Amino acid sequence: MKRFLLLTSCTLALTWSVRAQSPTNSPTATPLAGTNAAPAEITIDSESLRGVLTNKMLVAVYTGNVRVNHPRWSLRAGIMTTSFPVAGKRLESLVLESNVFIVSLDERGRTNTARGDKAIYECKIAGSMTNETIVLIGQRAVVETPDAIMESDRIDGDLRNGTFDGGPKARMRIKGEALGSSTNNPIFNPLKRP
Amino acid sequence: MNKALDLKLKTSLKRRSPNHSSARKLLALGICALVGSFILVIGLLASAQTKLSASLFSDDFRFSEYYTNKTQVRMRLSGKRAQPSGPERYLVRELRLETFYEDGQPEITIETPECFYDFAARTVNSAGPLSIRMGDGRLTVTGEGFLWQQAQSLLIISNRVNTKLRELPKSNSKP
Repeated sequence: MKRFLLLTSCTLALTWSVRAQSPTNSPTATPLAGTNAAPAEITIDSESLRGVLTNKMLVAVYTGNVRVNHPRWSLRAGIMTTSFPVAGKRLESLVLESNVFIVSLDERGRTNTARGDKAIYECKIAGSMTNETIVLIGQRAVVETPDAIMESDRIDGDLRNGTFDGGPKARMRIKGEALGSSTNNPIFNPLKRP
Repeated sequence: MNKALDLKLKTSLKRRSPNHSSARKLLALGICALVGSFILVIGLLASAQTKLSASLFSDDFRFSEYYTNKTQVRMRLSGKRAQPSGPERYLVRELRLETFYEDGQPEITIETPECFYDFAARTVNSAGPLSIRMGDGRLTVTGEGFLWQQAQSLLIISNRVNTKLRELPKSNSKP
């Protein structure tokens, strides 16, 4: 099982962001924090909004066909709950519910997707470290990259390190062309056992 | 005929006792005082209403609400024109509602071409469009049909919500 988990995380890490130790090149390393030099704009469209202003935060619940767009990623969900800092801080959390679909582009412009019934994104800054995590929950939570597909009832993703853990119920499928290209990768090579 | 009238007057005067007449005087005085105070109260109310109406009916009106220290503005309401639309309810054109923190920083700015403002409930609502700017302007929200409850700082937008959030520039790019 340990190997499977390693395989799972390594394979996904391979495609999502193993290369990107520098987060500026990685689409998933800091997708919501915005590491580009020019600040991007996030647009959110929905049918309705219910927001409460409290402690210099706007706690907002978007409902009905929620669509979030960013130059490098986009989200779709039935409901989205978030807390917007009124001034001077970054977006810290997003909770997406009901038919969640996430698309992001990697540094090569390839599409990575994630699906689930619920997704929880959190960005925590401790000192100089930024930790970004995403948890996908659902009867069939799926993370798909150009090279592999992972399915489970819960997938924990560390967006900074680019690793995903599907837990004991994870099912993994590595696409054929990915195996061929992976053999050239010095970090992970499934055909060579250490 | 005249004699008959004189008789009636005399008999009526005879029937009045001195005690009865003083009681009537007192009653009349009481009624006068009551009516006077009522007129005074009505006058005061009317003048207050006139002041409020005058400030709202004028073009480019402005109304502010202060924190308990009475120096820092908590809420500022401004607009082009207002028409009464019920008790303490006004139809306001080109409304701009701004709220501020106690340190004077802007909290939220709501703008709408037309809406109802309820002074008693402290609510703003409209079926029309609105735009909102939060704090430093990084976050803007637009939509159609809304309710703002000042007391709870609650905002509900019913249709076509669009939010734009400008990301913060990279912190280490600053000198």
